[in-house]
Amino acid sequence: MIDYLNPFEYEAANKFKFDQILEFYIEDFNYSRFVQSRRNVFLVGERGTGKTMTLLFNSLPVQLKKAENAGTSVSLELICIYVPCNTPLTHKTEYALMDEFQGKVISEHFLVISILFAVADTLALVPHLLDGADIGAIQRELDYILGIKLPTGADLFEALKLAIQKENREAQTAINAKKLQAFYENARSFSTGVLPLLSTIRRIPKLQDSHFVIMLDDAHDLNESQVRTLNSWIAYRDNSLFSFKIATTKVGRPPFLTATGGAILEGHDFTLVDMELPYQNKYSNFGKLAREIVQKRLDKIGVSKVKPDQFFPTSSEFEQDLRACEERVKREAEARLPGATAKQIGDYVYKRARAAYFRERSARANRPPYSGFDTLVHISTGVIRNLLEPCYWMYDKVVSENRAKGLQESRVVEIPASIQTEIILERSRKKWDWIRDGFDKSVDGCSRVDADHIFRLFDNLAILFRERLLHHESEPRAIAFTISGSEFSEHPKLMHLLQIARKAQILYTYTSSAKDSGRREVYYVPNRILWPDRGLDPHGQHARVSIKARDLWAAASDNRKIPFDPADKNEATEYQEEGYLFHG
Amino acid sequence: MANSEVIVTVASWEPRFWLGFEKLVTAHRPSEVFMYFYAEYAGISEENREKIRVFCRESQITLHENKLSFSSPIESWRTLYITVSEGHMSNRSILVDITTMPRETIWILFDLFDPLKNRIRWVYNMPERYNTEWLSRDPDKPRFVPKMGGITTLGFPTTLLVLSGFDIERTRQMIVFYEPELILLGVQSGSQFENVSKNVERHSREFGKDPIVSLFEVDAYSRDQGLGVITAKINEHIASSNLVMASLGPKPSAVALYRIHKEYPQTGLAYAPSKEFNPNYSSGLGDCTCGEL
Repeated sequence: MIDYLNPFEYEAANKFKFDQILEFYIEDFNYSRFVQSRRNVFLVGERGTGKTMTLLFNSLPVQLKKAENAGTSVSLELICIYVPCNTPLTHKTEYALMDEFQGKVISEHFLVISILFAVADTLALVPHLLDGADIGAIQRELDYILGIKLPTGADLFEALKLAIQKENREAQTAINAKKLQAFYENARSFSTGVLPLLSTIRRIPKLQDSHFVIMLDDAHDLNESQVRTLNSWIAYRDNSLFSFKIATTKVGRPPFLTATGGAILEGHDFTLVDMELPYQNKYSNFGKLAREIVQKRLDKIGVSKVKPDQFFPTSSEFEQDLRACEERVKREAEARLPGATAKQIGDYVYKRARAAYFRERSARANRPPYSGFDTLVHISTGVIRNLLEPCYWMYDKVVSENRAKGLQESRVVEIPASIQTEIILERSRKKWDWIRDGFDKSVDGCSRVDADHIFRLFDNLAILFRERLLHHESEPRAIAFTISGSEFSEHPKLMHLLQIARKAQILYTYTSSAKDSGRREVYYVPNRILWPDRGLDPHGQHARVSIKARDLWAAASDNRKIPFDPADKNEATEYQEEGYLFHG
Repeated sequence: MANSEVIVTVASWEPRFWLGFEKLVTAHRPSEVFMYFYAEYAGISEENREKIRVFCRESQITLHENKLSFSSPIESWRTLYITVSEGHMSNRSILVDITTMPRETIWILFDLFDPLKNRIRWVYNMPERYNTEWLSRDPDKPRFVPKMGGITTLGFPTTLLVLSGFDIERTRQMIVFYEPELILLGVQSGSQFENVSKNVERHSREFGKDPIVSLFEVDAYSRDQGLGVITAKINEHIASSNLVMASLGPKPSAVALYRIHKEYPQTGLAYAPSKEFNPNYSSGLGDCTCGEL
């Protein structure tokens, strides 16, 4: 566990102490209450979107801690058991040396044994759980049905943990043997491991009506056979005893195929929750979530009366200039649209005022000031870790400067706009440096050629968005795109690049309905931290640019500029019910 | 006069492979050579392999040439297993030339040789210099070495031991992949090959302030390849965490990690393959370091 140093710590949630999870977790605006249901649920999102935090917050140990802090007791109606998949056990490779059947059997065994251990480990923490239980009968049943002889002298669940560890060691030792076909003969399956254990422990009076929520985190780390096995369990539609909550990345998400070649279906077998929230304005769910997350962190450092907007103030120079632009654009709207309604004038100002600010600055060499809590939320592109990361560095910078001046850390009551700008520009530049120089060294499956192509693609997108910001008539701040003309022959190569970019989290995708036909369409949103380095406005607007696949590929492969027409009307705006969009 | 010694090597296009091999064979006069080569680099290693074929033929040394593949570690393990088990190596002294041998192959071979109870020696030839622009790129996912992934204890946190090299992104990739609770980051000491600016300073700057990183110095070119320092570092974590170990630094450090794995079979050895190496990876033949298992 890490020591608490900086309120904007953005380490992986599984490194947090229980108290930190309780302090930092926000229950609202992110669909996380789906975890507290009896349905099978997939939580899908890239690193840093809060999947692990959501699972851990709901896990019984954290809920026990929450109840203890509140002086209450926890309900055992729904018992959430956290099972991490990114463990050395999951990454073992010996199954691939076996024949296909044995490989499947041993893969299922390790998944089952991980769940069994997590069940025992979780229940061992519940105080007085065994009050009134016939321990002898339970032990006999475990012996008879599971074939587990429990060591004597320990609490039931501690003894069960020891027995499971022993089986786990024996299986690994057996398959590590230096033989071509080393196998473990006593492998367990779901029906000879998890089901009988859950049925047996329901004999404990306090658990007789319990529903067990098995929460598998980082399921993308499971091997193919384990994924198919897991999907077969999900297809088991009786959810009275157990259900699964599965957290996985979008890119490389395990397929929804079962061990027998069938498929599990969204809506029918499971509910899918997208943890990446596509809108970042202050009225959107993510905007509200971000505000609560940061407020909680501010509470932690004793500045609870300071709101996020005060802690991260917008540059006064910027505000002044922007207000002047808004006034001027408003007058322009009134002159150009005689008789327009207040809403029409508002729309006009929303679309053009910020662009006008950037247009007027374009002649100057220096970058505009990037500051203000709203800007940080937009820069996050809807990913919590992206929100906290610059805050972390900003806080660190202020603490360092305070210490250099002999001041105390507790004196941090705001991050000056100048430091916000400095850190945002630094993080933005580093991101570009990484794309240019580090991609092929750090992103799985990215060759030097791919890295060059991706850099050129994003470079040309930046040029296009810059041209739009400075010259487009109606949608100057569009910084998302859709792809048209997918019948293009190099389309698979383009998709390969976009897949790498998504894996590296410099690109996010959402599906949304197209304006014209209502069909679902994939929106591509580059990570907005890229834009400050290029003098762009990370706030963007609710519009996307439709770009031909052919042009994107030419930009990537031949460094050709993406065509730009300042009067192009081929942009559809996309508005969701969750956001208030015209806040001009 | 040839003796019954066996030399095991992995062919490379680097000049030090052929130059080092020639020196070794002249000094040891083995009766057999097991030369593996990687399918992905078969083209550029062919010239050196042909030199070895001619040399062995003229010197009446039996040469066994076998293909491995970075992209098929399981098939490579099978090939190594079969060639070792059918290679009649019992009761013979084995000299493993680890100069251009991937760490994964070093560990598998050491592991397969272990039950033979033979005298196993290893040798490593440094180059005169490394390419200063880049050495490797396009990394594949890190993976456990078959049969050497350790024995995981359920519920334990993961501790990652990385012996760093010149490429900071490889270190970062390991950390991102295994998401350890604690990182023991061993940085090679000394000023060879611009080590201070390219390795020590960069890793210290990048990871030194991270509260979950414990930085320490290690010398893979020392008599024990850094074994004592590494063992002292892992001692307090070995009984309470699942230890994953990776060597990205000087090749002899792989020997130290193998020894630790043998002593503590619960530890796992991880390897991060690259899909592309610089055709001008190194030049010349430098100093030689060697030891016995």
